[in-house]
Amino acid sequence: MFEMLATVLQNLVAKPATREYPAKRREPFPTYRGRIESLIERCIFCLKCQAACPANCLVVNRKEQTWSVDQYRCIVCGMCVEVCPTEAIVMSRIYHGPARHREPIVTHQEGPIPKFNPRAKDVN
Amino acid sequence: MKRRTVIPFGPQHVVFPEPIQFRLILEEERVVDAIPALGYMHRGIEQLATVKDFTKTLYLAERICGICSVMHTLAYAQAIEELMGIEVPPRAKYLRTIWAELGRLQSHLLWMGLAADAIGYESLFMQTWRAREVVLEMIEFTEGSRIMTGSITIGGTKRDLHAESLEFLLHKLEHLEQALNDIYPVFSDDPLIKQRTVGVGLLSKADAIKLGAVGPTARGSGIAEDMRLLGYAAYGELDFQPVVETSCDSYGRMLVRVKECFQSIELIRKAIAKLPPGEVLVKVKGRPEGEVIMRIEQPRGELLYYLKAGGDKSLARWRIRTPTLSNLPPLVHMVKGARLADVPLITLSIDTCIACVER
Ligand code: SF4
Ligand code: SF4
Repeated sequence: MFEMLATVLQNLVAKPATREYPAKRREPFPTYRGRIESLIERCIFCLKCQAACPANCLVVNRKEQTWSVDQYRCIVCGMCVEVCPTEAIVMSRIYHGPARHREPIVTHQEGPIPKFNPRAKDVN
Repeated sequence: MKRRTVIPFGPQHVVFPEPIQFRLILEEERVVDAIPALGYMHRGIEQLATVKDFTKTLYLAERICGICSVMHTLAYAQAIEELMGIEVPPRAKYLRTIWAELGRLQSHLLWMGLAADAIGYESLFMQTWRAREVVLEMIEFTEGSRIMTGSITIGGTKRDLHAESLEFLLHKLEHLEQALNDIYPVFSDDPLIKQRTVGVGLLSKADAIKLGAVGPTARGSGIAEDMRLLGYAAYGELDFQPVVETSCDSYGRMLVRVKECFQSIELIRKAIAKLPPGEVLVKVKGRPEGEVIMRIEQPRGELLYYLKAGGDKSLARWRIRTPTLSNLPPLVHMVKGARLADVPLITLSIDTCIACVER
């Protein structure tokens, strides 16, 4: 009984255990797997990521040079990042936020498709 | 004969995080029988696995249940590795053990919070969940995500733990142990909790064996059964004994879970101390063929996978038997003779996970 009283008094004066979100936010850890983003200028449209994606949320169109991801289907597993030969997909540290419409995010590549040189991968 | 009443308990009920229904047949205040009704959460995961690529099914396995996501991937990866004859590097085995124990910690702490809430202890509920947040931070830091961690893969693990992460883990474990030391006496000694749990939901050792209880439900009835003793991952090299309570009631099952939290902390410390150097992933080539049975210990008990593959890109059959399904017959036995007011806590005491049961 008195133990409980002590806890109650302690909690009255102690500062809250929770953060005052959204005024105070905890930064995600550097190792956090956030939403995926495309570095489209590197993409060679090999379709490997589309084939590897377990959630079928990537659509790559070689003809129109577009790469699109449905962020609401993506399960942030990182398979696409692993298989991409040119490292054209990266994982950010940002969690995917709310939106009004559920639409895939389409990125479009300008100019000719870059040539792929497997040995150049380690250089950058 | 006294008049009988049927009361539907669930599918939506405050003690259930997920939908399941029990039709309770009552004579006045006493339950004389209970009929479980399943099927509210069926998603057809087993069927989907027969058309999906077997490497992608790994992510499907993870999504059977949020709380045991690590355990499901572990079981699936181990089953495929056994089929394909892959030898996992020792470091990966230790990492898997560490992550599995972190998963067990967060699951048990979640349950402890829910139990405290069902008993009516709001502050205890918040304290346990505050402790759980520490575990979730460990998981997020080392695996990259809080619930769907995706860190175990076929052939090893996707991530490695560096000196910094190990230090972070050890530091946070210290915090967690302190928090648990504060929480433990409340669960074990508090008169109100004892009143609600001691002698409630009795399951004798003989009944537990007969009805096929698994996990903490069996261990709370004095059966020293723990699939980790099979020595999968690195458990064979970490010396430990299963936690057993002999009181055969809700109180015993609760204590098993609370004590297992301390055991998990010990296991993680041991695994970190013994962590061998080296690779964490071997390349996987080819397709699985044959049949395999894989058993591992989930936070709720024994998880059984049966996999059959015919050398195709997807599996021919994937059968999952989850611990909650095994624990349903003992649960029906336990609620017989109980008062209606005790039924919520008894159902909670087996730690039902309906998403697992129905897939
Ligand atoms: S992270 Fe996974 S689910 Fe998301 S786009 Fe890449 S492969 Fe698909
Ligand atoms: S795997 Fe990489 S290079 Fe290939 S299509 Fe996808 S993003 Fe482009």
